[in-house]
Amino acid sequence: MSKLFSILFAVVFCVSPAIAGIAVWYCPGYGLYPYGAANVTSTVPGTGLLANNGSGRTLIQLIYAGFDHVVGDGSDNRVNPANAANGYVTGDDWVMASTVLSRGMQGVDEWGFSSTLRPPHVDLDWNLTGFAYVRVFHDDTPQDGEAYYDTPLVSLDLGFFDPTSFAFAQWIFIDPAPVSGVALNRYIGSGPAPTPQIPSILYLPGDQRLSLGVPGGYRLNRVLGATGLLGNGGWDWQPLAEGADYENQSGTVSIFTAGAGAAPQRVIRIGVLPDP
Amino acid sequence: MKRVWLWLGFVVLYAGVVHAQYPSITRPVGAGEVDLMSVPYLVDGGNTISNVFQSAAPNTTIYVWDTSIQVWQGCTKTSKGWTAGADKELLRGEGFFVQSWTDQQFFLSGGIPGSPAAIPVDSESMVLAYPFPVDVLWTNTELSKLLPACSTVSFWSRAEGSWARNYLKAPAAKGGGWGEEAAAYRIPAGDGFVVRQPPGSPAFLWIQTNIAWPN
Repeated sequence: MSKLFSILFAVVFCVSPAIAGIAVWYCPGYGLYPYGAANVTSTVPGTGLLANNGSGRTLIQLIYAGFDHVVGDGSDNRVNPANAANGYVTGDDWVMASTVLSRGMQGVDEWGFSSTLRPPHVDLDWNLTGFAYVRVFHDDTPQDGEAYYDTPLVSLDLGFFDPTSFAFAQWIFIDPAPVSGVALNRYIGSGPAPTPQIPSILYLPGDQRLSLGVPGGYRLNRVLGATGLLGNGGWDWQPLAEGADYENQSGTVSIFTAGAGAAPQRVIRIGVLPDP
Repeated sequence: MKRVWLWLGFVVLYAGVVHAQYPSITRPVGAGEVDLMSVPYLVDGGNTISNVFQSAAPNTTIYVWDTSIQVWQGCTKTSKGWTAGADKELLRGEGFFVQSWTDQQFFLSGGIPGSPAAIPVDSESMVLAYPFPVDVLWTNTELSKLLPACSTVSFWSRAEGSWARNYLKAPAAKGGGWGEEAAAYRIPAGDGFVVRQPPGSPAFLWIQTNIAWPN
């Protein structure tokens, strides 16, 4: 019996290195576009995600879909903004690797594309079969109400146990390259989000305020203002302070345009979330 | 007498030019190192592994990429000769790994193959090499131009023991180039590299005329 076990151990020992190990490249092969972009093949400057997110940076993650083989916990709430320590994932997913794409760094353009590839993610000890996906955030500081994108699930290839094989690493292109890119299409905290109707904006000369109603079915998330353009072409978005720069009363947002609390910003962005 | 010296001087100078244009290639491989090489010569006695590496130290292993099944196939020189597979001919434009467990140098030389070279490029991953014994800029090769968008090329670093340079070809809508870093990369004579095309890409023939560095 002991000899049988010895043989079994020997077989397991010989086999396990051959089936272990992953090497994965994950990056855009065409480009990333901001939420709602209708044209995901545009090469017109100013259309890329990194030209529209205010920071010129975005976080992308390679995520294992866990033992349940579904993204997150299976619900639309795939991202937990309070779970920064674990990469914002939900359910039994975990982040295998992450990268911040910075516009202008290592050849990264405003669409997140670069011809100079970073090394693939390599884990020689990985021996779990299953699925992975790549998540692209709006920027590198994910927050509730911001947009993101998840690729479809991809079956992980095992068997990368030697550095000489890493040039043959598994590819996970974020987009359907080389045909087109992708636009962010989900919202943190609410899953897929329909585009809300843009309400009419009223100027109230008596109060010197801009007033608009939050669209039905939505609640105010935050109000941002920008005074001008950054060097990378994006707007210099800054959060405005409720009470000092604007008021939110019963679903009506009033932005001060004069007086001590007047916001100096010239461009205003209002974020809303679907009602729970 | 003066004329004889003049002729001798001319002959020596002429021979020197030919030698400088196509020098032999020296590849030092340290103990425990792996080098990605190619043989851009017609070696006396043939281009089989056992002939090209007949002076290799024992325990030297040559790994050739089998494109049809996408795996490395190795053969090792032992104290009793080469293991099976050493009769494999190292093809023109083919890269392969050399693994050494002792410090040794490989001297590659031979006749210069005719130009142009015609190298089949499969739709799968391939280990290729520039088919002439000269340095060349990656983006000056015809291969870099023939590969479709979203192809990749990977260059091995013997010193680092890793694929130190990996480049992705941009989609046509974005210019279809390889980027500034790849455009400046000079492939040393005798180096191999890995090329991958997107799934579904057609096979093609890489026709390459000889380009002498720094053209």
